[in-house]
Amino acid sequence: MSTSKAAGFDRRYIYILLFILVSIPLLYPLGLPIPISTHTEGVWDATTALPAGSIVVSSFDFGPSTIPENRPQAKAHLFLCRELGLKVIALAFWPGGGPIGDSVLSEVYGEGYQNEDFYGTELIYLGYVPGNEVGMQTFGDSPMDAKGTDHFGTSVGDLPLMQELEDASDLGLWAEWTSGTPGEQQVIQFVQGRHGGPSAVPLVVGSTAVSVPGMMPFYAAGQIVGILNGLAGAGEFEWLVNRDYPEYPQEQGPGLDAQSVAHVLIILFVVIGNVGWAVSKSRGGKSS
Amino acid sequence: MSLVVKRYIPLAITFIMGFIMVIATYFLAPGTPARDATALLTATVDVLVATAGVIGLVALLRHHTVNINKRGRFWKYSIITLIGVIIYLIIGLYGVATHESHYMYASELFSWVYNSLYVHMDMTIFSLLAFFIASAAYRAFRLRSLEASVLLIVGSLMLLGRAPIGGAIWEGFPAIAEWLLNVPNTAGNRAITIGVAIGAISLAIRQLLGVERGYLGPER
Amino acid sequence: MIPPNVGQLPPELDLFAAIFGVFVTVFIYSFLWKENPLSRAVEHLFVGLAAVFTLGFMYDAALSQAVWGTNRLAEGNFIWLIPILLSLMYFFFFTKKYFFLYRYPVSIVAGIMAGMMICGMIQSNFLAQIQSTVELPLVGNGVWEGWPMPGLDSIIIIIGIITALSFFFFTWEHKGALGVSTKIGRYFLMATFGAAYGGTVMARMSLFIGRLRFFFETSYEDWFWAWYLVPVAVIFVIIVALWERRAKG
Repeated sequence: MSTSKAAGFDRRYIYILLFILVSIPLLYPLGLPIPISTHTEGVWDATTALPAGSIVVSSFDFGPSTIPENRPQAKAHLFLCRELGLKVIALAFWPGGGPIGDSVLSEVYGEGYQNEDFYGTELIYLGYVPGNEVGMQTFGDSPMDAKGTDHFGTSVGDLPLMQELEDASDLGLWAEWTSGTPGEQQVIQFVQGRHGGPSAVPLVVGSTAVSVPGMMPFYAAGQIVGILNGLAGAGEFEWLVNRDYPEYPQEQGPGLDAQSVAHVLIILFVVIGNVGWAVSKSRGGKSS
Repeated sequence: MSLVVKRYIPLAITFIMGFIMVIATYFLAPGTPARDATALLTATVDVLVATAGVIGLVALLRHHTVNINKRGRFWKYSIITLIGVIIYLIIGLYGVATHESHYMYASELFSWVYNSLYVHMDMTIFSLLAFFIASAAYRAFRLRSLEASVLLIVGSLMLLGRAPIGGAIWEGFPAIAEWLLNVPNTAGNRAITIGVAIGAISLAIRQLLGVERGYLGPER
Repeated sequence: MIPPNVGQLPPELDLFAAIFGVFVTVFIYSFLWKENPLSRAVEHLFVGLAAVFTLGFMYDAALSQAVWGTNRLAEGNFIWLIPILLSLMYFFFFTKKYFFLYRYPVSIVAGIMAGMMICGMIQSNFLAQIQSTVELPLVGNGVWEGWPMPGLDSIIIIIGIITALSFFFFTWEHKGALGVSTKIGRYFLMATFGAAYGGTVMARMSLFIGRLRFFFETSYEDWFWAWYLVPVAVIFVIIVALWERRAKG
């Protein structure tokens, strides 16, 4: 027990405080308004500018650990693509993304979507495409070579939508849902850069919040045209989708309220910790 | 076995493969048969990357088996690992044996274990970091210097600006957070990106020229 | 066609999944209080399942890439035998005498990825970044409209990039003009790390909030809610932890 104490304050009390205070807004939502960032508007503008029938790649490059952030981003964007009449080729370059993509597509397009008439012409799910960055480059250069079958075992040669895609320059948009490598940087390096740059392969990214600061140079260079920044970005995009399509539920409100409480708590911990440190230092005690 | 077979041929293969990729990117136009051939080459390499995962599983089994035999640290928990591996593998192999496609994921139980059991563990283990961050915020982050102060102030403004509470307190917080991301963070990260790119390119060239040989593994 | 998974398994398994999820979540979180047999057990189980599911997905992907599908082995295109045979050479990793054969598939992958890295990095992470920096407008409408002094943003970015890059010049001692430059660059890097810290806190809190939402929002046929079991799981952990302490004497 003594090893967990520091500055006379057991850190386990911090854990309990965090648990209790962050739980409260989930049970009693605060209903805080969600400000929309320009990064999120970039994703919206890039998607809504596409003419109906454009091909969008939706890449589920994340694992179960970032489902709370990436899944709602991907789901809201796929819903928008469906409503706008865009054709979607969904896939995953992470093994864990394979089943997650299937689950999200089931929610947006309905259970058993692979048996519907639109499957193969309006929507394809390739599932996990092996090879990491090598697989990404292969898909960008020659999509039919990237994988022999889709997620359900159907030959890609039997899917008409795959015939429409000769290489990545035929895409209207690449939507990358990512939490690490391979992710947006690999799309830029091995797909976008090889097929005409950002104007030929526009890229929007839905990412875990950890990675967003690192992708800002690419956003500033125009290589990424829009970013959904973690859970906040998911909530902002849901708000935009709900504004134009009220049947789409806004589900991230309580989560964002809880996030607000968590952030304030962290700032308070930093302040209180530093005040305590400054006081003990001024009294000539050991700094800790 | 001579050094030629053990060392120099693998190094030559590395150089040739890398050389092909560079030539294909810069000297072959998209759509030409030669460029399509390199796409086929990378497609076949995808299979190699996929099957490398088997080594990881075998190494894991070997580690835990040795731990149990030697009654090492937490050897009883190694039994749990092995039981989990064996049962899950049997479930997967049942799908391989019974489904016409011979996919492991074809086993409904295999995919159910992943979707309904494994994801809970994965999400929870990663979420532990939230508590450690909270604890570190109180115990470790000290404004000992001007540089540390810049770090903490920027971090705090980001936290306020990126959650709805910031906008509720003052409408300027989200704008400040966005400016911090777009300007000073972009500057610093762009410098890091350029530096990392130079390092990665030089490492790749060294690897192709055979100067870096760590990927070949130990000499046996 | 792989049959869809929904509706193939008994629905009661959903209840089992919810119960399992609550218990493993509480067992893992109990590690925060004190490491105990249950948290260790779940961690070891997690490692085992992770290894097998990774193997499973990669095996399926290799099969769907090389064997099934358009113009693959099953349709008589025997060129796909080559990567399959090459990938079998990975198993020589576990031998002493023929370990060198393991290096052949590794060197193919390493060579291709090194070649890809050179091409990709030069264009996207190097030239495009420098081009974007050079193209920053210093006067008139800036990159981000609405900011009252758009040119100032560009100037700050340019100064930040140059000074932060100078921080990584280790060939010369950081004295004089270079010393001033690296000092300024360090502050820009601190701002970068501050933004990264903010992002990290955001991300980790989101994951924790995800688990809390699982507790409060998971139900089975309206009579079972996941959070009912949290006190039960906590009591279980306490009992096991006390038992372990007693067993150790």
